[in-house]
Formats: sequence, C-alpha cells, structure tokens
Amino acid sequence: MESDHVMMMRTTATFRTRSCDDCVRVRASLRRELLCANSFYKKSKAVNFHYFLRLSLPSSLFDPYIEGFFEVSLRCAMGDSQYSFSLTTFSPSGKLVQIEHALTAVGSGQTSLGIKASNGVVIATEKKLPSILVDEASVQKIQHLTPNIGVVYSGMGPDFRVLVRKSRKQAEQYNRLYKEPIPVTQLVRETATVMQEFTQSGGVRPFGVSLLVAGYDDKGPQLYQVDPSGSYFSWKASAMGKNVSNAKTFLEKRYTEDMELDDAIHTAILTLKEGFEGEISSKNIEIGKIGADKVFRVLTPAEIDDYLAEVE
Amino acid sequence: MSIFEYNGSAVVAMGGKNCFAIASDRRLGVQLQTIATDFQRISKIHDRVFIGLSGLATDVQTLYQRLVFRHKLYQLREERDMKPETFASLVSAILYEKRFGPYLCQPVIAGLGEDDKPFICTMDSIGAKELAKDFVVSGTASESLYGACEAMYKPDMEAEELFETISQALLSSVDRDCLSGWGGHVYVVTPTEIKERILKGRMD
Repeated sequence: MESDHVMMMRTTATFRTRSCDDCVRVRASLRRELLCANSFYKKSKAVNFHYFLRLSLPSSLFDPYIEGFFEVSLRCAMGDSQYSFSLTTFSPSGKLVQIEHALTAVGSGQTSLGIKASNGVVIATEKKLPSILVDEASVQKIQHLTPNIGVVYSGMGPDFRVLVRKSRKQAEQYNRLYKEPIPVTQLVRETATVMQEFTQSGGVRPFGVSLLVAGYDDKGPQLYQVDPSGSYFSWKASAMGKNVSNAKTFLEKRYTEDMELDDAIHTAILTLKEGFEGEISSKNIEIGKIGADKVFRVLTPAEIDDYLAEVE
Repeated sequence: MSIFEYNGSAVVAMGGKNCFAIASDRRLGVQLQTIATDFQRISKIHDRVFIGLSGLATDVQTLYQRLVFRHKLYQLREERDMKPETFASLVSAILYEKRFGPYLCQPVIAGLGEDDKPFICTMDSIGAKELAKDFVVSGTASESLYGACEAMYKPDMEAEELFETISQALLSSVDRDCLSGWGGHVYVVTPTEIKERILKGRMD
C-alpha cells in the first residue's frame, strides 16, 4: 500500500495602496507570479495551487487606502493512492479502505468467541495481560449492557469502553421510554448505527473493535456480531481476533443445534485452547453466560476452574 | 370556562373477563354551539390497543396522529405490536415532553395484554398514569361517569354484559352534561373480534 502525503500550506498577506490603479497593478503582478509557479509545479503533476485575491474599498473619508488581501494555499499529494487516508472516500475498487484497516486491527486482537445453545448463550475471550504485574481482577473484558445482555470484543480496548458506554445509555433510554427491557436485536441495531456513523462523519475514525453481543429475551437466546463497518450478523457460533479461521473451523465441526449451555461452555473452552499460547487457566480467560433465567453473568475464576477440570 | 371544556367530551373504558370496552360520546361543540354529531374520539392503535382522547379537539386529533406515527415506526423496527403497558408508557412520555405547554387532552388507553388480560389506564394532560382494574373515565362528563360506573360496574363481565353496562353508564352520564352527548360510540374488544356499535341516546 503506497503511503500518501498531503500538505496544506496557507499564506495570507494584506497590502494597502493609495489608489485603485495601484491595487490592480499589485494584484495583476501577484497573479502572474502565482501562475508561473503553478505552471512550473504542474509539470510534475503533483501540486495544486489555489489562490485568491480580494479587494476592499476605503471604508471612510479618513481612510484613503485600498486594502487588498491574498491567500495562497498549496496542496501537494505524492503517490497514487490518495484514498487510503480519507475515511469518507471510496477507493476505485469500491472499498472504504479505513474500514479494511479497522478489520485488520480487530484481526490482530485477542481471540474471542461466542456459542448459542438451545437454552442460553456463552461468550468467552482470552485475557492475555501484558505483564504478570498487572492485577488481573481489575481487567474485565466481558461487560454487561443490560441485566440480560452481555458483550465481549476483539480489538482495541479503549474503543470498546466507549461503545459499551454508548450502548448502555441507549438501552436505558429505551427502558425509560417504554418501561420495557430493550430487545437484543434493537440494541444491536442501535450500536451498529453508532459504529456506522463513525464511518461517514468528518474528523473521526472507525472503531477498532468487533463486538459479540449475547442476550436472552422474549425471542430466546441470541448471539450477534457487530463489525467496525456497522454491519451485524446473527450467529449460532462465531469467533473473532487472532486465530479466527482455526477457531471457526473447530466450531463448525463441534457445533450441534441442540447443544445445552454447559456443553457450549465446554466447547468454548476447547476452542480457546486450540490456539492458546501457553497454559490455559482461570486467570487468563474470561467466560460470560446467560441462561433461561435471563440474567447475564461473568463466571468467577473458581467456576472457570471447575469447567476446566471437566474439560481435561 | 376552562379550555378543557371548550369542545366537550366523555370517554369511559371498562375491563371485563378477557375483554374490554371503550366508549365515547359523539358531540363536537364550540362552547354552547354544536358543530358535529359524529366526532371520532376513540381510535385503534392496533387490534388489541385502543386509545380514547378527551379534551380540546385539535389536540385530540394531533396527538392521535403523533401516536399512530410512533407506533407504526415501532412496528416496522421491532416487527411486533406494542403491548398496552408499553403504549401507555409511551403516551405518558410524549405528554410529559410538553410539560410546560401541554396537549390539552386526557387519554384513556384500553388494551388486551399478555394472556388476554384487559389493561385500562387514564392519564392527565401531562402524563400522570392512573392504572385501574375496573373502569377509567375522562372528559367534561367525568364526574357523572364516575358515579354511574361505580354503581353499575361488576367485575368479570362477559362481552355482551359489558357492552350493556358501559352503554348505560355513558348515556346516563352524558345526559347530565350539556357539553357532551349526541349519541355514543362503543367498541367491545375480545381476543377474537372487535365489535363497534353506535348508540342513539338523547340527541341533544
């Protein structure tokens, strides 16, 4: 991917002349100079000059001078790919390249996965901390959005925090208006709308996270994946982050329609184990589940240890 | 002369056994002059939720249009009808949005909830919800309606008996109120059908 430089330079200057004729002469000579410069640089097809000149007339009897003002802006773009930096511009191949880059950021994040069972949903993620000195109890990658909807991510943690905050607010606003808990589909759609807005606004970048939203409402257990582009899909089982292709292949083999929640948790642990570097333990994975009781819970390390023992 | 009494109205809703009835008068007046004798105060939101609005007629119509709009969007987004409790919360929120310049109407909401249990409620013009199990009233004839309903109401009435009761209560109350009357419009709703009937009372 070629890199790209855009330089914007702006020069403004004012001048005052005694008479209109002088002013016109100054303008003409300035314009000549700039035209020469432009045609010189245009030969290399890399530079665009923009300039404009403005005249203002004497404002009062006390001011016999005429003010002129000129502004020159210089834009030079080197390289052919002028599309990869600007988020809101399509590339010739029809892609929004920033979103592709965001998906790459997601793909290099820690693995996370979700499985929808017949009577609940489980989501799990690796919790690789940068150093053994980090207090792992303070790191919570799986979060609640409502009492019956939980979410996990792959990608950039800070972006995830922002999205969780926004989603929680939207869920609560719905609850306040209708006095009813928000259906999972509606919350997912509103979160996806937020993510899409950040792909079509000025001065912002897309979120560098993909979310797995797990919930249980009147329509039963549901699992949704939301991408940085704002598209969302309902999955029976899905994985994201590093090692996603191995994890998905493993899930495809192991998934059955009538799985129960505990089986799903075992399968989730086995899938994480597939691509795990090092020893898997309750300190470096996080699991969240929701069953027919419609209460989303993050499992305690002790509970994770129990499941790990069952899987061995 | 209160602004709520400008057009004149009477609306009542009663809950029965797995059914509900909602009724209103038909007069539209401008103070003492009768302008129309077929004014629609009760509107269907969907097959299981009805809303009757009493008070200033222009706000009745506008508020109804706004609520239908919100419900249609809800139906499209969520692919389901609104439950009566949810709808009542929505109406309450919409009315409170205009707390310092309110819609001058009092809604009566009636619907069939989960398991076909009837749901009725009323609110004041700024959204204070009032749930009831038996009956709710609103409009210029509300005081007479309270008395008549209290006397005539029995719990767990079937659809036909409920129709008789609500009609008698409505007609006798609007007879005592000069600003409402000119007949009645009654909807009796069961899980299987909606029966709409026009009553002929004292045409004054």
